[in-house]
Amino acid sequence: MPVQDHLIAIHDGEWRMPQQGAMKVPGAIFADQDTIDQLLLDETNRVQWSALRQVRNVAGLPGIVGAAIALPDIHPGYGFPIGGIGAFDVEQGVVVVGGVGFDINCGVRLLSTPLSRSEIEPSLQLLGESLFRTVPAGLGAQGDLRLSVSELNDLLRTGAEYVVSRGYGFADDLEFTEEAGHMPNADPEVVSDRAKHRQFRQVGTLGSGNHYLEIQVVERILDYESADAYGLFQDQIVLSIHTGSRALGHQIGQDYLKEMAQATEKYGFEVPERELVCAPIDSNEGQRYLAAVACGANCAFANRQMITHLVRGAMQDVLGIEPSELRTVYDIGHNNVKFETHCVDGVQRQLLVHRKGATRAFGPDRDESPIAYRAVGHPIIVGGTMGTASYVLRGTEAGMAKTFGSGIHGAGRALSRKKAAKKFWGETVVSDLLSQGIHLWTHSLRGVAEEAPGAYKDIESVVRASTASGITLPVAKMRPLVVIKG
Amino acid sequence: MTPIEWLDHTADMGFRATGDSVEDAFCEAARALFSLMFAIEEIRPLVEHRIEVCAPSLSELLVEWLSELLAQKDLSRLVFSQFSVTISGNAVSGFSATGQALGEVLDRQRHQPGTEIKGISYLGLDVSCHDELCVVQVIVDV
Repeated sequence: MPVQDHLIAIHDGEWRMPQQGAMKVPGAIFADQDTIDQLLLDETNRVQWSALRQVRNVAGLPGIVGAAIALPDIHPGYGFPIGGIGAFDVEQGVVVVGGVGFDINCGVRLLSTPLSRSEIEPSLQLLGESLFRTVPAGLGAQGDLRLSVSELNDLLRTGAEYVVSRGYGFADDLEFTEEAGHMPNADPEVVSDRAKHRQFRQVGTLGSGNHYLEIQVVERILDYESADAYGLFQDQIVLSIHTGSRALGHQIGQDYLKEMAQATEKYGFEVPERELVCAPIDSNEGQRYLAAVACGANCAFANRQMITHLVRGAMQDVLGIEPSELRTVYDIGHNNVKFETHCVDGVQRQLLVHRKGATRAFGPDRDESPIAYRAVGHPIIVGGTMGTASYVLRGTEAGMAKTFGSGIHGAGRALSRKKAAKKFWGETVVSDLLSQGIHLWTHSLRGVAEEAPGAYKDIESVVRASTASGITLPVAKMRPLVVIKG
Repeated sequence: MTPIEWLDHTADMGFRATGDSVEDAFCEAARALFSLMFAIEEIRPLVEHRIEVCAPSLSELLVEWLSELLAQKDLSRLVFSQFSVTISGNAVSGFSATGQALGEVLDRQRHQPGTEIKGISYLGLDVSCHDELCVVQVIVDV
């Protein structure tokens, strides 16, 4: 049955894909009309990778609860679509490798400063240069933190906590990091030696692709009460760090795609796409994968913590600002799987929630949020492109009910990297950005062309669609001033 | 037909590599992988690295082959530009690849880093051989 016959508009920005065929639950897609039109066009043209087909596939996995969900930044991924969420019953359900992907707990940390734009404007060039020199970025870059095997195991067990215990940060950084920067149940024994050896020289490195470090200015406050709780104000200078679990996470993903394929066969599951390989949550294989993912997640928290330390040093060198004045507003991942309690049809249930290219977005009164944010819910950090804007959003009760408390993670790509590299020229992107007052420092002009702002969907329309459907609300809009790319 | 054709994938990168034999196609795929990451013409064949991998099918063998080469960038800091491989086995007992990669230690100035590859996916993965023409297709996570 063609999907277009069965995608039903529920209300503004919310669509339902009724249960059909192998689907065990319906699909719920939150997106604007343009995005839906593009998704349907891909279906009609039978493109090899269709995000709608991936929503349908996720909806057919064992033990899925409620709906297979996709958010406004939906685009094709591996197994799950990017912007995809799947929650599973802890007894009947499965843990799915494609629900997390290769870059485990890739995410964004937002740091606030007490400075306003005019105070750093004269130093932008120097700041860019200092950050570019200080924070290892790009393919093949190495970090300064050298760890022994037992130290790396400690880092995998305790995440950002380990980095702070080494003196690279403050207790407050942990308070304002998702999971306090330390996913429980991490077991380094289930992470391959290869994954660990690939990581030794990569702690505190930014990576490349869509990863970045930005100095941004808060251009507009859209929700004063929440902004006040988060410590954000108009014209404020903030910094944003987007990176993940580096080679360790990549190797865990690669290793477990293989291991979980055997589990899938052993438990008699048939999956329509290899990246949907899975195992029962309470099986030995499922538990091993969850313990490995927790290590990857901790590695990502530790990585962002280490980069925070480097950023503080660079800011101190140039501006004389004390490291403690750069406060962690929040650190949140967008490729993860976690046990959470949600109200489903009036019953509190423990679920395993996968978010691939989607953040947790808990609204008010959840114990998981830092106490200081509990009245409004924790911040959701949405990374834009280097030429447009980033956003801070907050969760809502509607979002808790409809998306298991999940939020968008970025603009979402519109053009393939191939098309972008053909359409944009790295040097031109750099000079165009400079004419808009954005200083770009990069190790790869080819990477810049692929990541050109024009290769992404309009962040405004993505945020608008999310707001229209009521699943999140905008708090603040930030615009980049300095961009460091790998 | 050019040995490497780049594919359109919204989020990531893909390629189709063609060779006269499955071995040739595997080597072209390896060249494609390193071309995405570096200016491959700048990688000198100074160091030899041996690769031995096995898998139940040819397509899974391709993932193993490329993953092994990719990991060396972090494990030994080696990057490669020339490849040779011998593939043996069958669908019943599985396949193995024994090969060598020639390259040198990564030099970020000279090798002009492009985009980091996070992993070799199974999405759209394909190895097809007909009439002495082999085509392999891979999508890599960026």
